Amino acid sequence: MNKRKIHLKDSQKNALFCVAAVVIACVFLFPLYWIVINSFKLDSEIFANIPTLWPKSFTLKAYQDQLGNLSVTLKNSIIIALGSMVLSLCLSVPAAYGLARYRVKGMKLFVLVFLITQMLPSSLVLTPLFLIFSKLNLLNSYLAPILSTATISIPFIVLMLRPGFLTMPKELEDAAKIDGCSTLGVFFRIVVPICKPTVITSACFSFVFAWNDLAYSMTFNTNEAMRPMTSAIYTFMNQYGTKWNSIMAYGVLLILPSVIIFLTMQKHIVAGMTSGSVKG
Amino acid sequence: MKKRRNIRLLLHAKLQSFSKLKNFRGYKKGEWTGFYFVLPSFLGVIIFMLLPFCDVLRRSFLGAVSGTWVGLENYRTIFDNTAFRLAAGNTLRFEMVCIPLLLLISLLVALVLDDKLKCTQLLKSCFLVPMAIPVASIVLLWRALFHERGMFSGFLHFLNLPGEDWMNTPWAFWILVFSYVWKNLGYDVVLWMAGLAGIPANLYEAAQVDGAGKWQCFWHITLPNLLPSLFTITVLSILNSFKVFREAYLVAGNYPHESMYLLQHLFNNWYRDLSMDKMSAAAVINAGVIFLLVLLLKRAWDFGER
Repeated sequence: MNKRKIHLKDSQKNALFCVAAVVIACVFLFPLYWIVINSFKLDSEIFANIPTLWPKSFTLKAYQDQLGNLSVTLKNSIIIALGSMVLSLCLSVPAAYGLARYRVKGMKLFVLVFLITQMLPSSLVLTPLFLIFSKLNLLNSYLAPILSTATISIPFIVLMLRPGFLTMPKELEDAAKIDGCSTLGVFFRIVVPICKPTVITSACFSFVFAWNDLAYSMTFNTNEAMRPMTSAIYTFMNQYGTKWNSIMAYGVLLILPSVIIFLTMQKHIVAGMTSGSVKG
Repeated sequence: MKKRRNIRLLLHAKLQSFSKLKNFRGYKKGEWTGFYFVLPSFLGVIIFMLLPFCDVLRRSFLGAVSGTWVGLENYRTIFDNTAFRLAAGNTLRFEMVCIPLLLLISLLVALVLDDKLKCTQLLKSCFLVPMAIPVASIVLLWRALFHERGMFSGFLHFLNLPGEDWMNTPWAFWILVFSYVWKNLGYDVVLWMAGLAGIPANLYEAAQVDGAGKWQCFWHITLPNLLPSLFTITVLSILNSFKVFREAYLVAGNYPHESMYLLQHLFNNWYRDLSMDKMSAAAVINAGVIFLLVLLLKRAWDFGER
């Protein structure tokens, strides 16, 4: 990694670059800072003529207001995100393993199909999916958003896990097979434990996908009792647009899990993103 | 003579392919085991992704009310449609502005971060965080920031300039550009950095021995070696830009300012009018463009692996 030291010895320039990067990073993080800080303000202060960078009166009122609203939508969000995570893991980890280990007929086609489905914007399939779900009587249930978000994350995970399975040594599996382990046994007892880090990363990915989803749950769920946090916040925004600090607090609570997962898993996520896979 | 040579060549090829097969991992276990591993997820993707899309394809050739075959009539209609032209034009304009901007900024940031600053890791996290933020919160943020009496107007007020409801001005387009760059910069920076890490260090060492300066190194080593990455990153960025429509729609609702009337709004309006015929045709065209881009991308990857 010392290649770049050649043309950057002077620490002055280094400091300059550092400052520039920090400034850009500040611009980037400012919207986040703004939403967090506004959630601690009173409503009158949010839309004051001169915006304040730090709340004059620091209040947790907005969060207290939201606690009552939260229980149902939080439960729904967790059910949808966990369901989608479990479903996509159960389906995509074996698929990635199969595509990496075995000579599957039409493998190139499979990979291409996964690639294409991953790239299609959700707006293109939203309407036909709506028709399918209404025919299957799945509208206004947890299953509709779970199935649709899992469909998005499955191709992503398959493409992300495959390179990892490709580089795994074959000898371990062979040894287990000689000792009388079945193909499925090898998969569950050898392959999955070895690839635990990447499997966990993909679990995080699919959880965040489903947690962040708004379009699907908005289209497929009109039932308030089954609304996740994302679509709840969207309806709040359009309903009583004046209670901004409450909505901000809600927005912060919505952001928190995704950002925490993302930051703790950052190393693995970056590795996954660059290993030939694509963002969803 | 020629025939014998041909036979020998054929035999050689056969032998080669045989040895390849023998080396192929798990080949002897049969093709079906692998197939069973892939089948469930593949079926899921087909049912919930490809079949719906095939349905769209079918409807794009049918009349909306009659349901009879109308051939390319729908396609002709949408190309004559002013709303479609506006949306497609705006989308094109959006791409032309966003992609170069994003590529340039992310390359600059990647170059800076690649210089092994003390805070590289921290900064990388800063740039990646926007990727994780739910669309719903982004919409909320943008509304609060660019509201008539929001943060941005307040700041201008501070400078004695009039505030505005920014989402209803031509600036709406630029807000959208900013949100795209904001959301995707971290991803592109990571990709650029992977490309930079792939350049062999001895190239720089050799150049330095020959007395090349920093700029010469950059122009003659860094940039040419980044070309393959450039291609991949461009295609990926374009593909991701199609996903920003969702934000565009949610931020501005059904009646956005004309400058940010993108394909997503068009789809939505047609969906509410139940003009499935026009919507399907436009969706097929949109998907066709994406399909072409994916093929290009795959080409690039295959080329890179060779």
